[in-house]
Amino acid sequence: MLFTETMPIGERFLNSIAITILGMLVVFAVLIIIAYSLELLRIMFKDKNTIEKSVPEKKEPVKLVPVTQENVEDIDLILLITAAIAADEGSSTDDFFVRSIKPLAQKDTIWASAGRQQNMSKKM
Amino acid sequence: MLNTLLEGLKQFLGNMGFAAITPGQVIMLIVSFILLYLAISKKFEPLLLLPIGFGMFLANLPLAGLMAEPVGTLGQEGFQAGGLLYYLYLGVKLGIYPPLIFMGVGAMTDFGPLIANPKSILLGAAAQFGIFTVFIGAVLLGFTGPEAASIGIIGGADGPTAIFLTSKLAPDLLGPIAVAAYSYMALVPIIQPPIMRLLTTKEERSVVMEQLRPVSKKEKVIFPIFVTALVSLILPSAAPLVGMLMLGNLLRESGVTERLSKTAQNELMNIVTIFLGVTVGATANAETFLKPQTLMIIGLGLLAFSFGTTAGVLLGKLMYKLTGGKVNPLIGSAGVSAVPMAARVSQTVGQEENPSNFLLMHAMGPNVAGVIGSAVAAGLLLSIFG
Repeated sequence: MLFTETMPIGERFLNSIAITILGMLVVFAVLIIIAYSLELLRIMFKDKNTIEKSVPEKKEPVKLVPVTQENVEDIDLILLITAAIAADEGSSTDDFFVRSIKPLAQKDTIWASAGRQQNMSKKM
Repeated sequence: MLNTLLEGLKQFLGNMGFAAITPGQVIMLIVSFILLYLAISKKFEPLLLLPIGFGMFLANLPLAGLMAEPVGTLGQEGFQAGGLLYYLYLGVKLGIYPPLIFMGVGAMTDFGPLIANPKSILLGAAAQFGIFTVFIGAVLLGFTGPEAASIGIIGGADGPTAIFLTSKLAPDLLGPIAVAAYSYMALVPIIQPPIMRLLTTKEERSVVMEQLRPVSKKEKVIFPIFVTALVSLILPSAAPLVGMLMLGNLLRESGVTERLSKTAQNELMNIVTIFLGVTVGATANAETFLKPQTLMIIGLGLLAFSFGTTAGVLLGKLMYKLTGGKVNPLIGSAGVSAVPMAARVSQTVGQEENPSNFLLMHAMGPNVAGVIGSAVAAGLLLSIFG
């Protein structure tokens, strides 16, 4: 037993100081190891970060590729989307170009998509 | 017939709680009303003080037997089931609720500021000094080693850690220690600022810190796994707290378990908080609470908080000197945990000097390091006295 009632107060005091020193050393040691490990983690991932920062992205000028039957899988789809945008914007299809069409991953739940489709069909 | 009526009335009156109430219970009921008042009107940590206050209220109602132990063995003749709160209390007694709360805390915590500025972790270590200084004080006042350790842990400013350690080392003191720990956590904005202002100069308080670097997802995912492995290997007794804290954090940072993360930080945490609060309050009965040592615990708890804050700010001052004025010492006080209240206090005191200074994210580093630090301290005390 580290502390008994019969133990003189001086001895109890010294024991408690010893535990305090041990406790603070352990707390500091564990957290210092964590801190250094974090530095290590940072260095491990540093190269990638610095490369990303030091080399600014060069934006290549967008080349306009005429829409032809060869480079488009489904010309009907493009025509449909172009017409839909024009109808939504209230503008003409001559006012803009459709440069790319990328399918997006389904982010919403199936219920949200169903609800949105329902709203759209009500507007039409 | 009159005799039967009188006999029945006498028996009814004899079975009423009013007949059995003791002066100690009356005082405890008043204490519970004070806690309820502080929670509802003053909004002192209401999510915990309200269940604690009501648990205390329930447990001190005479003859209700909500904390009564079961009599006999289940399935055998003469078995009497224990009170409702007795069974719910097993989650505290067996050390189940505090780690579950820690899982929720982990799911709510962003360790990003700590990963971005690892040096700030040292401030979280310094602030644990309060635990050990008050431990010495409690030993000198005549408390046993395990009791003194449980009182000291109030300085960790971390309710679940304090309850976890006390339920294992000194269950009789659970009521006063939990009440003191949560009351002081609510009082952080009152206790800390005077100490912070006293120990720092105007110039130090005005330091604007550099913006933290962005932290990659890989670092955030590796961090909880690494810390769990490291702390559990050094201090196996801290594994339940740190392990669950980091599980919650991994649920958050992995990005693939959003539903589990939400459950850990909302529904599960709320359910466990109700059970924990009510049963911890219910341990405070007149025999264990109405003693001079309760006042000593409340006094020592305040000292623990103050010493922790002081040590954090002093190390902050040292870091200010060593870095040539890049660290604002005010973030040191956030090392006492009490997430995120202590970090908000650093922000508020810093803005008093310089309204355009935003210390909050810088203070969150030591703040969350303090949670790990107090869990480590608790693990160490448990391995010595457990």
